[in-house]
Amino acid sequence: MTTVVVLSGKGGTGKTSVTASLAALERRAGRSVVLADADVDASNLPLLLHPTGTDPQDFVGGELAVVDAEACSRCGECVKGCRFSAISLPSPKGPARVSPSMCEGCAVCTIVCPEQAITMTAQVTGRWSVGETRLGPLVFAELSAGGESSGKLVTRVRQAAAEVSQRSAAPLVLIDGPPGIGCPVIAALSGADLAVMVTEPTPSARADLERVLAVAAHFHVRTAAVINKSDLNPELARVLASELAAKGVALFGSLPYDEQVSACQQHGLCPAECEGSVSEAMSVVHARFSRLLKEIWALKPTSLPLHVSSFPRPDSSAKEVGS
Amino acid sequence: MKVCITAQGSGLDAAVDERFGRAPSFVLVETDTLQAEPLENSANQENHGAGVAAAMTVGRSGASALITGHCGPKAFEVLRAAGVNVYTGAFGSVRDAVQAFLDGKLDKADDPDVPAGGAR
Amino acid sequence: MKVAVASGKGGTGKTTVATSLALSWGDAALLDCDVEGPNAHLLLHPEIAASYEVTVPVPRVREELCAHCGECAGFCRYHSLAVLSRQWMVFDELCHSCGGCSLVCPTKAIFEFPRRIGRVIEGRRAEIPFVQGILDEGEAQAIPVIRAVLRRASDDRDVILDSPPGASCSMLAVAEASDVVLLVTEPTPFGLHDLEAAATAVSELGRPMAAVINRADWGDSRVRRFCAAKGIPVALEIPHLRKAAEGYARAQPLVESVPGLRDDFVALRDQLRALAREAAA
Repeated sequence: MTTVVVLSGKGGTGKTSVTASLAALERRAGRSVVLADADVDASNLPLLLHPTGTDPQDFVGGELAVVDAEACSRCGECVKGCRFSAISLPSPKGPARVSPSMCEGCAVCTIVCPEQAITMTAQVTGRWSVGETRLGPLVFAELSAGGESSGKLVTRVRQAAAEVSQRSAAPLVLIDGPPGIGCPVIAALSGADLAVMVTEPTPSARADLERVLAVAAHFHVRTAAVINKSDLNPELARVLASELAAKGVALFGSLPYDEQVSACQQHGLCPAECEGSVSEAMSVVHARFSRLLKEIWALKPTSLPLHVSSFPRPDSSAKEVGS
Repeated sequence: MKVCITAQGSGLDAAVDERFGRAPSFVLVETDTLQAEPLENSANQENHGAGVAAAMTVGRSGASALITGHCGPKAFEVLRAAGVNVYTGAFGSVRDAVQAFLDGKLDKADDPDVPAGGAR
Repeated sequence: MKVAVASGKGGTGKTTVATSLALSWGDAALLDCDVEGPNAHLLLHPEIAASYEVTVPVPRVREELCAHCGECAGFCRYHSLAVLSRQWMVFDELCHSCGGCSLVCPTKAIFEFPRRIGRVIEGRRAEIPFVQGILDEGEAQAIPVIRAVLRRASDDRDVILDSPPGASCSMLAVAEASDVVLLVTEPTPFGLHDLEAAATAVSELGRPMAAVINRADWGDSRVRRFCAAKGIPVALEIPHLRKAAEGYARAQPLVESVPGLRDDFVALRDQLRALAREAAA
């Protein structure tokens, strides 16, 4: 199983469009892919791919403090003890109140409360699903409004995608990653075989790219890049390309800035599924992506998916895996 | 001696699970008698720190060796501190893994062999 | 008045709008709370005056007092502590700095050590005070750095808070500190979906909202209709302008590449004040 995660640092550079396009082109080449949307805070792949047959599962992301209103003596010890400003005494005579979006589930309030009026309860912070789409299976999730944007739900999505990959013998897991560099990105990135950075020739994207590349290096993940909207600032695009080369980041290619991408999205399609300059450029990007994948695959210690014994069992009908 | 193997089931014929922190279960095997007992890995549902929690479980079990496929850095640190040697590269069934261990065919880990955050 | 400039989807133009407001109003402070990827300085071009470390407390143990009882590890919800017969270990990156372990320790062996996770930078451009928070690469938790920035929001002038993208706790930490939230969106399917998530989260927080639709002619009317249905006033629609995109790619603020928009951003100020006042009443 090869895991590729698409990141950017900066939001809005085109991660989702590129991820879907790579998947579409893999399928056109006759290879199956498992897609995962790890941007659980703003999950957009399902909007393009309309997954069916989903059976959303609750995800318990942590615990929430709950105050027993009758036992509460309004002493305020919990308010003093909470380091996340998650508990307050909002009304003059009422009990302490926990803010679900601010509570981090640390349980300190439960031990400082002299009346033992506070308990911790499991909190459903999101839901995750596996669905079928025109590009193959898609694992995705939605974080509940205000949920803690930690990597927990991202990790769940990745685990589910790995399981689907083994069951369906699809050797490539392609992950649409979150923006930023924090916990969700770390969860999406760690242990991946390749991180593809989608960037653009703007000072903001360049600054954020440098940061996300540093995080990828920290977690020893190989990197490649795509420069999107490259004609917005061709000089900066050239500077980016040479900076990437100097860092040993494989450059898969450049995509032009085109209203076509937006129009395409309105029709529920990704750039590779439409015609035009972006689509053509995307094919070049995909060709280089495929070549790098072959290299990575060849270097893997075993080409069998995880959890399958290296000793073929006598009654097994060995499935052909790997590209 | 007692060894702990990461597994997908509960007996000697269970398949080895290559992960440590998120392994579905553990099997404790007494190497002299090949008597096996299951050990729950309550950490595998944890969001963060699965490796640390799993390592504590193994540390308390009386096992002097952990046999698995891969082990991450935090778990490795805890196991080392608990005096549990880590052997990686196991596959096949629990029985196969114990035999490979007794035959000296497994690699004794000096360092964790996967980066933080989970297996490849 | 404190205005949080947020969006569900990344890349819709939050920082562009936040810096446009700051440059058009001229006397408000701009606080960049998008600590994973702060970019406002690239458009505002402030002069930097000072830089401070942001630290979070993590536990350390006085070995001579530690009984290795394991109470601290048993309490910790994040498995950041491991206690063995002769050894006490902490994994800083898992620690949430809640302080619980030091509270439960029966021998008071645990003390707190400040661990650096980021920086806060202070500066100004003309009459615009500027503050930026930045999370160190490899660090997982943005919220403590966001809080460090928010603490520097003064009450004696309007404050513009450039928020992180998304609808989760990082954005809400900023929205919570504001009097009114300006949601920047685009009229595409992705923009609409993420706007819905952000608007739901902000309304649960009880803050009034207004919207700015960016690249307003690249898409359809569903975003406008959503705002109308939810009673979110559309304060401004900005058409797609290639010169604006190219200006952005050259670190040129929007109100310099399209000076005609300056008046629109000035007009926003009263609208936002009215919304904030209504909600407070």
